[in-house]
Amino acid sequence: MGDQDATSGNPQRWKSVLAPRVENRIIQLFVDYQRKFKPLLAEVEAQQQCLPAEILNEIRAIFDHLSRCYDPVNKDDEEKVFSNLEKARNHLKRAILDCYKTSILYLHDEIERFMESINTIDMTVVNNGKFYERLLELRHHAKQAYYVAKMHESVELEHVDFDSFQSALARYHETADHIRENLNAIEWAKQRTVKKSFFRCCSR
Amino acid sequence: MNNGSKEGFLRAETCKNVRKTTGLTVEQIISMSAEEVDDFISAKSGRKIEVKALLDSRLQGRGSVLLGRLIRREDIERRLAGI
Repeated sequence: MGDQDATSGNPQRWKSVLAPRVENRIIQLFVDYQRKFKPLLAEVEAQQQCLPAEILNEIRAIFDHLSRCYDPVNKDDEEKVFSNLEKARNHLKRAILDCYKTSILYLHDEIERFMESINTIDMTVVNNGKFYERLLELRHHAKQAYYVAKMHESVELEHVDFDSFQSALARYHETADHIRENLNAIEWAKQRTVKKSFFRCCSR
Repeated sequence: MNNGSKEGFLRAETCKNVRKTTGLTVEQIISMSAEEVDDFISAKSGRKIEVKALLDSRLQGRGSVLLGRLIRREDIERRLAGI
């Protein structure tokens, strides 16, 4: 593929080295891709058991803008190269943001499903009522952290606060962990509720 | 691109959660290819990772309008086999 004739002429021109300051920005983009985006995408894949097409579309856009930096038509026009680099960077930001949002939504849905499943269960018997009290507290904090992140989310990607999304995701994980750590006691409470209602039915 | 950590990396708690969810440390994920990561996650869950449009209305819609009409390689192969 690399030795094929490019439509714009001499393929050797595509191999030309860009200015060092351009190369440095490309390297930074790859560092961010590897160290920030890739682990978050792996988390999304493990949760959803799929690679979301929306995120894949952002990756395609990153690759497209990067390749345009090396296009002979653009490569001598530094303004165009920087414009493409900025666009590639913005697509990476959107991809990272999508990973945070997708993970947060996944955990949010899991937690809400759990809340629904315990609707008729007496949760005051789990850890002397402390479990439920703490669960409501953690769930509230997680929601608040997400609202803060959403508030900071700006149309201008330059000012998106990834830190607040990272905090919100951590709070949602904390809430989900709290449920997982108490699963045995919750199961016991469920069985106890079933038995109680059974005996209540029998005594009528 | 400030992502919340001093060195420009993910926070320690984020890394911990990534490990818990994927079974891989961030360092392992970085050292592996995308295919290796997918294979590991697929083997762990017993389900193959596929490209899928999530189409969740709570996520802001963006990008190609064709996102919901993905054609999988398996579909293409199946249709080609029918020629």
